[in-house]
Amino acid sequence: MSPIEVIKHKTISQLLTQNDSVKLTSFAISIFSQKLFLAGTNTGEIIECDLTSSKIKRYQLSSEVMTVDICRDDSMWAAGTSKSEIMVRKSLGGWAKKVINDFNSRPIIQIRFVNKNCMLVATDRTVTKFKLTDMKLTYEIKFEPVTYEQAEIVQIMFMPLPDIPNNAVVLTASMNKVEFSLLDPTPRVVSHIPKPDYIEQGWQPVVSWMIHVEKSFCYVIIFWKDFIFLVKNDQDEFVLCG
Amino acid sequence: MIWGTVLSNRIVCYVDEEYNMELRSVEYLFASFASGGGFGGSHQLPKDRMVDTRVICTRADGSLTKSPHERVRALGNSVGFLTKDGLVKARLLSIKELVEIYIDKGKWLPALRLCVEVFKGKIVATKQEKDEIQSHVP
Repeated sequence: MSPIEVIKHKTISQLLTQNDSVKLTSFAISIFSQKLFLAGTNTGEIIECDLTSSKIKRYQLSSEVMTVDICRDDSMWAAGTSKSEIMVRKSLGGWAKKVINDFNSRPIIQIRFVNKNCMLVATDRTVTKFKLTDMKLTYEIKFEPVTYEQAEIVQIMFMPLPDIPNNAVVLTASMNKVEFSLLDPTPRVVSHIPKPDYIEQGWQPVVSWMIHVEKSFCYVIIFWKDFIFLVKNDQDEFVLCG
Repeated sequence: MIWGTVLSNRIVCYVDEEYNMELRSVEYLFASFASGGGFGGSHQLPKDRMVDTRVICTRADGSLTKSPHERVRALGNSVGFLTKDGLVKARLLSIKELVEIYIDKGKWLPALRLCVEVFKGKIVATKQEKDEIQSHVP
């Protein structure tokens, strides 16, 4: 028996049927409220949809939208493009916005909000922490590098630390390693797992995590070709355990 | 495997190149040989309707690095997939829903086994989830 239920989203299907040449390239849904849907397209358009009222707002950047993300409290969202543009915007018609026209000339492959004051931005070579301050009409942004120049980053994810509420670990998956960095106070790389020799070149790792409910520590799960690795995280130690 | 995540802090979910989605409890994956038990299932996604994986960079030799991220996303207890028809969500059923479906189909033994494994701690569950299924176990 399949333990899942498959649901097709009608409002979003209707959005797509309006123009055949426009293709969705990335999407995000507000995790807790399920109220806000955000999509990026191959033409640089960002579609913001309030799923409760079906109201739609559209914004334009100049190249393919590679990534979008919504802050966990739904208050703001961000998008990044293949030409290194970044847009940060207050959601649902709010005024505050900030557009960076060329962040570092590399495609923005992923943006992930940690909270409303912090987001992570990954290009294929770097991961950067953006500290955000809402200035009512714009955002003040300060940058801090999380990882320095490395080859072929494919995914980033942040993992909360149960014992340290205001900190997080950044999981950076690249073609030849998975790197673990503490986010605060100053981002620093604490450990990494290199690609095992028995996995051929060309297979990329995918990272996720889970919390051990009774004991307060996390497991990082790494999917890599046909293998799944279990990595136990306790404080800033990462131990391969399965 | 081209993509994977953990759903509801309990089920490891991964998708292979044929877009077959496998779901396994952590116990099933990492400890079942020693202790037995665990939980698993699978679901075939419509491969021909899926949006192509995106190109994220071009290597020095001209080959492309592709990534499924952003086309496929974990959304709490579900996984969202961009398809040619829009967004499709695969929602992981709750433990209570699973138990009730088993019971409706007359599959009493798997229902009981699932409840027992939850209470033995082999399948991760919150207190609320345990309370929800308590009436089904002796």
